[in-house]
Amino acid sequence: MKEMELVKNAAAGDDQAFVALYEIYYVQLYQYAYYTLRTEEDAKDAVAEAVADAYQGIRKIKKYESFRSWIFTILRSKCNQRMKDYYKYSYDARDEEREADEVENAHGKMLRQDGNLSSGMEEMITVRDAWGRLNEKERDILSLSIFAGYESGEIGRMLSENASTVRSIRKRALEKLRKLLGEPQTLETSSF
Amino acid sequence: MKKDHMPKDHMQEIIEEDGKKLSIPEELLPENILMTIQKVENSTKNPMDKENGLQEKEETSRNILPWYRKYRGPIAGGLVAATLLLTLGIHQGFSSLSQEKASSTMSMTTQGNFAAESCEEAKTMEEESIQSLTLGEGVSSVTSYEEVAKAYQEAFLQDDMLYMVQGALDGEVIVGAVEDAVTSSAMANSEINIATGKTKDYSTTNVMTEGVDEADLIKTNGSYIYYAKPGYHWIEIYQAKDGSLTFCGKMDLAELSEIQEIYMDEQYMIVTGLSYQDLSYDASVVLVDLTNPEEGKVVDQWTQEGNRFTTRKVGDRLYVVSTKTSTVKADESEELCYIPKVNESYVSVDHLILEDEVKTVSSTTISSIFVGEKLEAVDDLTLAGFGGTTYMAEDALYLYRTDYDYNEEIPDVTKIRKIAVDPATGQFTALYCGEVSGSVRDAFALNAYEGMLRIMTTTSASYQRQTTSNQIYVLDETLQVMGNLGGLAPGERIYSARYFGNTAYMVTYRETDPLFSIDLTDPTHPKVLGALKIPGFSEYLHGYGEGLLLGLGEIAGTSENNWKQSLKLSMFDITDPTDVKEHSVYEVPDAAEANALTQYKALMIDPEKNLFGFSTWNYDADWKGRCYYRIYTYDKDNKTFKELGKVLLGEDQYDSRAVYIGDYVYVFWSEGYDTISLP
Repeated sequence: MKEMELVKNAAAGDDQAFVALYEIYYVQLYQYAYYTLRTEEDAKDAVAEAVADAYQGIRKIKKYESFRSWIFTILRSKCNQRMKDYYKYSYDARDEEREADEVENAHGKMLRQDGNLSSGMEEMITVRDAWGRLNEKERDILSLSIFAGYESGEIGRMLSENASTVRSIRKRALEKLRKLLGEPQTLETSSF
Repeated sequence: MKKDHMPKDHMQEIIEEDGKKLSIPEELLPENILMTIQKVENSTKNPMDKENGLQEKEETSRNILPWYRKYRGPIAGGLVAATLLLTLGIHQGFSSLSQEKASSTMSMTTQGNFAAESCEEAKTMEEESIQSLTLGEGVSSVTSYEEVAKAYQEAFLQDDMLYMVQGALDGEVIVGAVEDAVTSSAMANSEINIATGKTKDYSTTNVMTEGVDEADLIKTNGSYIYYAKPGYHWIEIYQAKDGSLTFCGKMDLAELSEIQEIYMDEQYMIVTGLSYQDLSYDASVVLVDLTNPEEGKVVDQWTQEGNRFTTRKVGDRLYVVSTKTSTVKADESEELCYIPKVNESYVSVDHLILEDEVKTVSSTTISSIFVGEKLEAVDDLTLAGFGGTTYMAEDALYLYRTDYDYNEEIPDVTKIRKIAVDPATGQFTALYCGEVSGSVRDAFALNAYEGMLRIMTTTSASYQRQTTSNQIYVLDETLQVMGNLGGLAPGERIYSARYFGNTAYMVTYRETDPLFSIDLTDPTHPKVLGALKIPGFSEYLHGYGEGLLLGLGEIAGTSENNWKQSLKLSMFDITDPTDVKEHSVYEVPDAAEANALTQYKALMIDPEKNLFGFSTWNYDADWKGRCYYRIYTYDKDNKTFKELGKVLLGEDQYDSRAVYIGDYVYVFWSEGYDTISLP
């Protein structure tokens, strides 16, 4: 497998092999960091540090199964270190109520303006705005699954939740985004 | 493990599209990455370089080191192992220090046992003990806060594994030990209800250890039900009478920023949660007087640093265990930032114990509190450099943590700390350190019995943990290994465990999934009595009286849709541990999972009443989570499970709870409640 070869060479000191590995994942790495930390500068720093660590660390690892998994884990810890300083992202139960109102209002607003849910309206919020309305855990789980490509079982182990909790938080988060962005919803079947 | 097929929906595509619009900063382009790496490494060698990295925060109270200043030496490859942080949640920062340079006389006022001491006096204390606390090998007392601060700083600067531990939470619980020993729990189960004169006929929290109470989202005293509604900031009060519920109002506790769980006793309720002060969330409990059951009155509050915490209650003694993680600072004079506070005072030096090998910048504080008219401090101790999951028996509190080496150079190891408690006085008498190889899935794998600790672990030989083996250890009172039995079910992992005195049951998964019975009569030589091979596995085991063992688990997925799984109930006949038989098996329809599989408190169970209940989850045709709360009884003669009723809950109701009172089961979830009548 090509990637395995690259890892072997990079571990042996081949810089170009390391760069080639990085090239495979660099966009996703930045996307993950950006959606988690939400500013370009922080994301840039987090990725730079993570890649620097990986560059050093790749010489030390004896066995691994997935370069992707490994480097995203490093990046994740860099992001986490920053997250704990960001009280502006802290979230408590009261926020959830307030937020539920916001979601409803955003949804309602769009309906009223136009009669139907369509894009291109001035008041339309961007994906990134909507993303910011998610709580930390929801953002974390979505980033890990969409940008870092982890499965719910892996995410569950990282966050000490079970896989189905992860799936349901993910679904709920996507639903929230859907409402905020005015996407047409799937048909409700019964009253849940 | 099973590959899960999360449906990719339109929303995900929109997010991915949005992601594509991001422009990657130049420094991160592949052609420039080597140069960027060089820049990062250079900045760490030169602490004054501020060109890269975070802007320093304006607020002096934060005073966080920019990332490039954290490391005094070159970035060592070992920092890769900081990836172990992946196992941890996000931790709070630290308390504001600039205003709080405390004097050297710092100690808690307790019930007269600990006189206020200055650091000078502390230096004359003996190395090996704190007051009357015996210390095992692996930890020592300290004579100044500075010792702790230095230890943390050194640990942080080493190019070694550094953890931010999960802290004093309850881990997922597999299966707890159910003691046959007569303890105060015998009394609890036959409490006389003063009002009616009847013996108790209502459910209690499914606790791990008999005699050690735990907080939960719902509690009842037979006439009132108190429900700490998850996601909301209040406790709902209901009066239950003959199947009908009357909502009496809610308790909105301003003292807590977040409400978590409750304890209930005759006259009072204790609410656990978080309190936000000094830019951080701290563990906090509030004592509520219930003389008027529909309107509690807050009479006291206790707070200690560390937002990862848990509590236990033995009679009128409450134990609060919290873990505080600190951010290492460059300024060495700020040693107080590493020292936790209890009720606004820094813990005293003579109550601080330092790990000989500090692998984490976390400290765990355990307080022993007497619940009287107020919350009265009895004892406290802080273990600096350790954090882990809590397991409590009546005479000891255990903290355990599994260390995983990401690079697989060191096999998994579980470290245990035992804090011996005198049940009569609530005072801490000793602290011992122990270690076993392998990882622990949850606290049910541990069992304290007659002063010994039994623990089951799974060892792994590779990063992805494909090659495994399982064992059981017996440790003595000071946590030295007395005996062990290994090589059980190679290639599998432990999924559930249960202890009954000297017989232990272990379920492994996933090739042949046997249920092992293990004899522990001779602690130096545990032996396998039998192994029942069954399809699927149990994730939770519970003694069901009269030689029966109930298992909740899964029938593993098969064929193309191998994400599809089904919940099963099993009843095992354990009258003869050498020949365990499957009494009956029942596949629960329309259920992929149950919250009780991993949250033992979500299970309502009373084997004497022959009733249990929990909520189940399944995907419906539109990928929504459909949940029911179901209640069951077991017909021993006909060897069948019988569903007595079910309630449809809102979507994804993993925090639903139910209690039974007399002939009714009252079910609560965040969007509603309902009642089921028992036949």
